[in-house]
Amino acid sequence: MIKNIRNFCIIAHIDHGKSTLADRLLEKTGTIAKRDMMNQLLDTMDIERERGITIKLQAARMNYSAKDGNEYIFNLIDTPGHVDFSYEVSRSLAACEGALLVVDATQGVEAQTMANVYLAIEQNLEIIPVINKIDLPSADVERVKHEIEEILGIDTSNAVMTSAKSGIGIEDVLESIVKYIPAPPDTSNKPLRGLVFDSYYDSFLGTIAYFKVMDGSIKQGDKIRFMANKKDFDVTELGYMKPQRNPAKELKTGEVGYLAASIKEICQFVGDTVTLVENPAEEALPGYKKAVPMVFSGMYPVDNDQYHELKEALEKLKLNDSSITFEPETSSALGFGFRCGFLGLLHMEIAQERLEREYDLSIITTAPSVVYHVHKTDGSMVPVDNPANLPLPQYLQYIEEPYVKVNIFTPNDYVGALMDLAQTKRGIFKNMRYIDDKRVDIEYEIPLNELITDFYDHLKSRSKGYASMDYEFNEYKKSDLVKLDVILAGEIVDALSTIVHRDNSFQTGQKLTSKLKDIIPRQMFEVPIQASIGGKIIARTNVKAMRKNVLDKCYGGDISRKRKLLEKQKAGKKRMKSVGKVEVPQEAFMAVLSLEE
Amino acid sequence: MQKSEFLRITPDNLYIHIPFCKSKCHYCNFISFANKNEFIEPYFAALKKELEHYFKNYTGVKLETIYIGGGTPSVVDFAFYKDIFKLLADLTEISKNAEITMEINPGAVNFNYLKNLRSLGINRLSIGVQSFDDRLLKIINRAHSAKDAVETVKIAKKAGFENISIDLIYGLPCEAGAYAQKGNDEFSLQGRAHSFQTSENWEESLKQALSLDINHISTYGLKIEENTEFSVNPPENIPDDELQSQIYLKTIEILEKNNFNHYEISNFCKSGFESRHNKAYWQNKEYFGFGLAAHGYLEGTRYSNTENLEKYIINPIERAFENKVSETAKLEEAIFLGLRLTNGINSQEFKIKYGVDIFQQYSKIIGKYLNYDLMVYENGNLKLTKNGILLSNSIFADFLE
Repeated sequence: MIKNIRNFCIIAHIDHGKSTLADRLLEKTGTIAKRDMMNQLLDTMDIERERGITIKLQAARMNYSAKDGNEYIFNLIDTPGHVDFSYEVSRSLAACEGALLVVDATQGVEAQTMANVYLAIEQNLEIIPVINKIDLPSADVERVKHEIEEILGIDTSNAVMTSAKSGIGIEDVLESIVKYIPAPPDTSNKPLRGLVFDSYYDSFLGTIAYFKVMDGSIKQGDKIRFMANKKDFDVTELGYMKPQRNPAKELKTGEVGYLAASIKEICQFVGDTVTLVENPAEEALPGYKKAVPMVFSGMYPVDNDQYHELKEALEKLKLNDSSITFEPETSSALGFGFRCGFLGLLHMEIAQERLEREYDLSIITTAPSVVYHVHKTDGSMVPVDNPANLPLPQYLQYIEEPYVKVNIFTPNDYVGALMDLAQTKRGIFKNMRYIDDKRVDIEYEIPLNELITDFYDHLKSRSKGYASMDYEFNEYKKSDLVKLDVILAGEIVDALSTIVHRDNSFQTGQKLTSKLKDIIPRQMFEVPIQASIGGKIIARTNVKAMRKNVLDKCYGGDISRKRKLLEKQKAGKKRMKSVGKVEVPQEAFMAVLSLEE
Repeated sequence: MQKSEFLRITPDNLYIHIPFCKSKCHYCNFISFANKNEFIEPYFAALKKELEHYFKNYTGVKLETIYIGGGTPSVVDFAFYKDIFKLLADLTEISKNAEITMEINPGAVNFNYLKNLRSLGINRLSIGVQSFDDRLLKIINRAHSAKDAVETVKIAKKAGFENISIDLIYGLPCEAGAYAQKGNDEFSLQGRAHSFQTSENWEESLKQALSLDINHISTYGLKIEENTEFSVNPPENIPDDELQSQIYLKTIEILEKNNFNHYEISNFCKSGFESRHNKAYWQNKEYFGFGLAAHGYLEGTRYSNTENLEKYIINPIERAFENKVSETAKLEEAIFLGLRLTNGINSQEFKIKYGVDIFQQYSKIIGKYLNYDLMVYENGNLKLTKNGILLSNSIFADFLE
C-alpha cells in the first residue's frame, strides 16, 4: 500500500551521529540482527569506515509495525555529509519525501548542515529535527533548538530527542517518520518512470541501477528503456536493499530498489529515467542539478603500462560517482594519463584511494588546480585547468581566477585567528553576524585556488576543530598570477608547475624547493632542484647523492632475509615515478599543498 | 625430500648454528642467547636428532665445507663437538680437503681447546675481533680486549691453524669526547671533527690486523638492526654514510696494498684463502643448514628452522619455513649473490647454469648501470665497480621483479 511507504534521508554534519542513528533504525526495525551489526552498516566502503565519514549513499529498506497498528515500509537513503558532496546529497534528496535533520546537542548547527537543509527545503521535503547526543554532559538542547529555528528557520516543536549511541529515542524517531513524513503521491496508473539516483558495476550482474519508482510499476522480465541513453534492456533481477540485495518480483509506485539487466557496457545512467518499452512515459523526469567540478588534477599510472587499466577504472568509478569528469592528457614528465575534475579536495583524495584499493592501481595525482580564464592578447579567452598549459607570457593579457563565497561558522573565541587565516589566503571580508551569543558566521570571498590547498586543515587546527565551513562559487576576478615551474636535474617537470599569485611567488618557490628536497629520496647521483618564473631561477637546492647502501653481513646463508630486504627497497621504489632519471615519490606532486605558512 | 637417486645432486656444504654466547653484543641481532647454558646439552641432543633424521634421506653425501657459526660456538665444551663430528662421520663422508670453519671469540678459548678442535679436523677459524680499540669494544659490549685478540691468534697458530680469518667492524660509535684528550689531529677527517670511530683509528685497527699475519679479513660496516640494544638505545656519534663509504674505500686500498685480494663486498684474503663455504652461498649453490634458526637450500627449496630454542629442542625436525624458489627468483638470487663477488658473474656460465642470457633478460637495468659506471663488463664477467658496490643494495633491488 502506497500510503504506508515512507522515503527519507538523514542530513547531518560529520560526526553528529548520522551513521550511528541509521544503524539503530536498522536494528530497531529488525532489518539487521544485532549480532550481525558491523558498526556503521551503510558505509560500505573501507575508506568510509576508516575516515568515519559517509561518501556514497546507500539505500536500505525496513519494515516497521507502528503504534497505529499498521505495517510501514521505510526506505532510508543515506547521504554524505562533507562539503564536497552536495551533488550526491541532491541526488538522494530527489528520491525522498522527508528528511531527518540530525544535529549534535553538544555542537549545534554547522555550516554544511545549513547548505544541505537548504537543498532539502528546495526539494519540498518534510524535515524532522533530531537532536542527538542528548545524554552527553555538555549537551545544550535549548541552545541547539534555538539555533535550528534561528539559522534554518525550522520549527522544532516536533523535534525528537535521541542518543543514537545509547539507543535513546529511537522509537520516537520511527513514529515521527510515520506521522510527519508524507507517503509518496499515488501515480500508479501512469506509465513507469523510475528515477535512477545511483549505480555501480558488479562483475556478475553488470551495471546495477538504484532507483525510485516515481510512477507506475516494474516487474522482473520487463523490457525497459533508459530514456536519455535511449537503450533497451530486459530486467534480469529486481529488488530492494536490506541493506544487502533482496530480490523481489515487482516494485510499485513509491518504492525504492535496484535493478540489474545484464548491462555490460559502462554508461552514465545516473539521473536518467527508466520506463517500459511497451508503454513508455511521454516525458523523462527532470534531471538532477548537475554538479560542476571545481578542482582538476592529473592522474597518471605509476607504471605506464597501466594506462588502459586506469581508463577502465575511471569509467567504472564514474558509474558510481558521476560527478567525476576525465579526459586524456599527456605530460612530458608523467606520460599518458587523465585530467580529472572533482568537486573538491576530499573528493579527489577519495577517488584516488578508491582507484588504488578497488582497482589495484598505483597512481600519481598532481596538485589540484582550478579553472583559470586566460585572456590572450588577441582578445580571445581560454579556460586553463592545467598550469602546464598556460600560454607563454607574451600572449597573455590577463588572467581571471574563480572566487568562492565562504561561510565559516565558529565559536567567537577563534574569530581573530580565522580572519587572519582568510586574510593570508587573499580573502576579501564580506560580512559577519552572530548566530547566538557564542557563535559567529563569517563570510569571505576567497580565491578557490587558496581554498583547495590547505585552507580546511588550517581552519580546523586554528579553531581546535570547532569551526566548520561551506562554500559556493561566486565569480571570476582578475588576479596578478604567474606560473611557477620546477626544474629537476635540469629538466622542467610540467606536472610540478603551479599557478601562484605574484606577491607570494618568491616565497612559494623557496618553500616548494626545500619541501621537495625533503621528499625526494637520495638517488645514485646528485639532483639539483630549482624553481623558476618565466625562465628566471628564483630558488635552488640539491638532493645529495646516495653514498652507501650495502648489506655486508652474511647471516649464515640466510638468503631469504636478504631477499626480503631487497624486496622492501623495491616496494618503496614502486610507489615512485621515474621522471627523467629521477625517482620521484607520489607526495612530491602534492608538495605545494602543504607548504608551511 | 625423496627424489630419484640418479637425479639428485647433493649439496656438499653444511652449516651448523650454535646459538649460545657469553654476553650479547649491542649490535647483534643473530639468534643467540647469553645465560642459557643449561640448554646446551638438550640442544646438542636435538641437533643430533635433526642430523640423523635428514641424512637418512641423503646417502652418499660428500662434504667439502662445514661451517659452525653462532652465537659463539666456542662457549660450548669440546666434548659436544667431538660427538657431533663422530656423528657426521657416520652419516656422511667428509672430504679429505674439506674446509671446516668454526667461529670463536678472542679470550674465551685456550690452547688445549683449540688443539682439540684441530684434532677433529677443524682447520679454519673465524675470530670475532671486531676492533683493536678497547674503548670501542666496551661500547659495543664485547667481552674481550684487543690484547685477547692478539693472544688468541697466537695460540691458534700454535695449535696448528694456518687458515685464520678475523672479523672487523667499522663505523662504530664512540663515547662523545673520548678522543678529545688525544688532541685535535686524532679526530679530524677532511677538516671535520668527529667523536666516533675515526678513519685514522680504523686504519690503526687494520694495521694491527695485518701485523697478525693472517690470511683472511672480513670487514663489516655497523648497521643498527632491529631487536638489538643499539636499536633500543641508539648510540650517538654514528658515522654518516659519507664517512662510512670513505672508510670502506680506504680499507680496500690498504688491504689490497698488503696483498689481500678484495674478492667479495665484505671479504679480503690472501691468494688461495677465500672462504669456500661462503663462496658457495654467493655462487647460489645449495647447502644443508642445521640447528636453531638455521637456513638451508635443498632441491630448489629454501628453508629455515624455528627461532624458538625450546621449540627446537622439543622438535628439531619441523621446518619453520619452506619456500620453493621460482625460476625468476632463482635468476634474481644468482644475480644479487653473484654480484657480491668482485669477479662478478660470468655471462657464459650464467647461461649454461640457468639457460638465460643475462644481458637479454636484464638489458634495461644492466644498460642503465653500465652507463652510470656502477657496473662494468670485463673479460666475460659482469661486475660492480667500487661505486657500484657502495650502492649495491639499490642495484640489486632493481633486478627483482
